[in-house]
Amino acid sequence: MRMRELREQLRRVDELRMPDVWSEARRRVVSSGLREDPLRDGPSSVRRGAAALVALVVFAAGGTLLWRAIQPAPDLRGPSPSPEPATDALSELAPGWTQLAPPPDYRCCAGTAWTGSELLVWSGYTYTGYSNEVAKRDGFRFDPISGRTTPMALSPLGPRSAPASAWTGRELLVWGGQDPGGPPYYDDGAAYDPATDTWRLLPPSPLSARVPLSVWTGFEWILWGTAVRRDDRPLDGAAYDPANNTWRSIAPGPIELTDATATWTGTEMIVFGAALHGGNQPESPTAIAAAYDPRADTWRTLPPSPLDTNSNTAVWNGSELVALDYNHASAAYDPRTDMWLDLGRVPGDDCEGGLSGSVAIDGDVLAIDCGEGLLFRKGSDGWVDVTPADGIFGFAFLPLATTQPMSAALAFGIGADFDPFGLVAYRPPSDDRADEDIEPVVIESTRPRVEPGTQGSSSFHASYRGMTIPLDAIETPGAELEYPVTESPVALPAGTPIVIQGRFRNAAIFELRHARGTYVEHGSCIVPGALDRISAGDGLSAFFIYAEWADASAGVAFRARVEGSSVVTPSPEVTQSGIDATLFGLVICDG
Amino acid sequence: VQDSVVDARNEGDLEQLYRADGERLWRSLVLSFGDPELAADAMAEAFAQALRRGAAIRDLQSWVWKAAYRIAAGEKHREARVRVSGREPTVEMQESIVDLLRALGRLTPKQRASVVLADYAGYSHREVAAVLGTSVATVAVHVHNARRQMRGMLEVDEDA
Repeated sequence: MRMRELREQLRRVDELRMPDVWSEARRRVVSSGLREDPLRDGPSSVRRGAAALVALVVFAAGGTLLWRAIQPAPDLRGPSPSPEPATDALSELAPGWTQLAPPPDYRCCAGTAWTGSELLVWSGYTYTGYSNEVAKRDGFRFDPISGRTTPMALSPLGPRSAPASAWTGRELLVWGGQDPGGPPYYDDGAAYDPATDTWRLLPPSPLSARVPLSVWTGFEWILWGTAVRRDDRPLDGAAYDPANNTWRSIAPGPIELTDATATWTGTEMIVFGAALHGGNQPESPTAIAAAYDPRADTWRTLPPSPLDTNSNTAVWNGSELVALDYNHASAAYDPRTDMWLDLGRVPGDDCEGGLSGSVAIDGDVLAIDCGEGLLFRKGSDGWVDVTPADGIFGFAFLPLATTQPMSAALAFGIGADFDPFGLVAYRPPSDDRADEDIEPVVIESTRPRVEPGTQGSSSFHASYRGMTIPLDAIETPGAELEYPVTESPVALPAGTPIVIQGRFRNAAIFELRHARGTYVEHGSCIVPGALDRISAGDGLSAFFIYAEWADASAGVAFRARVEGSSVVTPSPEVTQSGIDATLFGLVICDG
Repeated sequence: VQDSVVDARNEGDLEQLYRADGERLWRSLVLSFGDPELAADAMAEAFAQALRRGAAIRDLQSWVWKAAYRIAAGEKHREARVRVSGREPTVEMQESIVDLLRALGRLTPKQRASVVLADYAGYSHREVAAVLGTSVATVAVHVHNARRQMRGMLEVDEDA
């Protein structure tokens, strides 16, 4: 069956008649029946309505067989059920750093949210550096593209610092907080609707006054524990459902944290950090973490991370929890393997306490450390310094609560003397080949296992756009690798994904990109130093491919994740120049 | 729909989008998730939320497709978590379509959505990546693997 025939097969579905979905959508708007409690078991009434609608139409189409719902394997890592705006104003910015319009005020520790077009800022305070700050009661909405500022209606809440905040897609939620210098803590909350410029008080929560960690799940706002150092470290939490304006208590957490971040993976809230005393003494050797599943109302403890307990941050990039600390160490936690992977050293100068935070940008992670911008592209094996040529000093991230993946990071620029000097945005480089469909290289292999101390040979047969690429790599442990040059090297666009098909354990897919660092032995072959600590097992493996780049002659290496016999964690393109490569040989390294 | 609830201009644009693109979206959802009810529910929800959001949405078509796929994936996820699988038969459908959905059902969810959006809906890999919230390279691989598996499965089915 050729491709044209597959398309024709798919066209069979054109025989189905679509129900009147438009009327159902209008009905839901009028009745405000957008979504029932998503945590309730069983089909929703709107679902039952849709079923009746579809049944009627399909029967009318004269079907001949009884339809049984096909139940493919569920994607347990699917996106949040709540829809997200497809675009936001920041997506139109050019890649790199962009100076935005100056906001009317620069505030630390405010309740904030990015709506897709406006920055919402409530309360917080202007940082002076002399511990004499006073929280502000007002707030504003700010469009960083046009520079337009709109004052918020006065909140029913008192002024405060560090309230937990979230953006539901419709409202800014704020709860708790403290005075700028510390206690007292607050135990009330409110919701602000920018469409009507109105506030409403939230009902009393089951939580005591605090500065909690929080995440928005798409349906609920989960608040847990404490995000600041205090003698008592609450393990309880609660979830607020804005659709029903109700709270529910959640199961108590298994670990104590004081200096921590919380992030939502799509199925779990991961809290990561450490419990520290006032003198910075930690209660665990390294940073620790736990994950809460709101559907099961259960917690699980993650394995200890390799990161420092002091000044760390973590953010979810869509598939991994990417974390780093002020010692410039970084690691990624993957829930599928329940393992931490060492991501190596984060570039930059040592400067204790300079880690400002990190945010996810469409799967990439941007961190600000000691005034330097550091980018971790999803699937890559290291960080790239993206500090602008004219330098940055003292950037402080504006903490943003948002329901959508950000297309750019927003940051307040804070000068050496705590002088605000602007609001900036950063967007990662775009994909130069984005307008073209990418054709993967397909490699089939029946590689014999190479025992340590023996010489083995690997036989690969590759094809690309109908062309055959003979590949033969010979590996001799302890000796220099030999890469017989293929007779017909093929030019591949940078970023080309590669599919390896075979029944051996380490089948993988990866992309071409430059390798960095020194080369070390890894398993049965030699790979760049960044890969030397990859753990053995079925999850992660190292892959090494020799390629000739236009500006360098070097091998390129990859880490990839094995899922069954063909896999997959394709990496976004990360090259120094974006140039193409020529494929010469391939070695697969057992871990 | 009440003026206070939605923006009239947005409603007009959305209805035009529905008339022009609705069937392609619904059938893509049916192919991707194997369930006409879920497809209708997710699509209605996506349009309802688009009506609510009004002029805040800049690219209606992109937004609605992305939202519908996310809602459908979320509902599928919810069903899996609450063990709704094995539902009773609900509606009748022609044999050829049942075979097609059965073959698609053997793919992984991401392979299925990728190949449907690329080979049925006619989107480029870049556009598929935007709908599914993944990278272009990932889509390329999923499409490749899905085509390969579909080829084998449908050939077997046809031979049987």
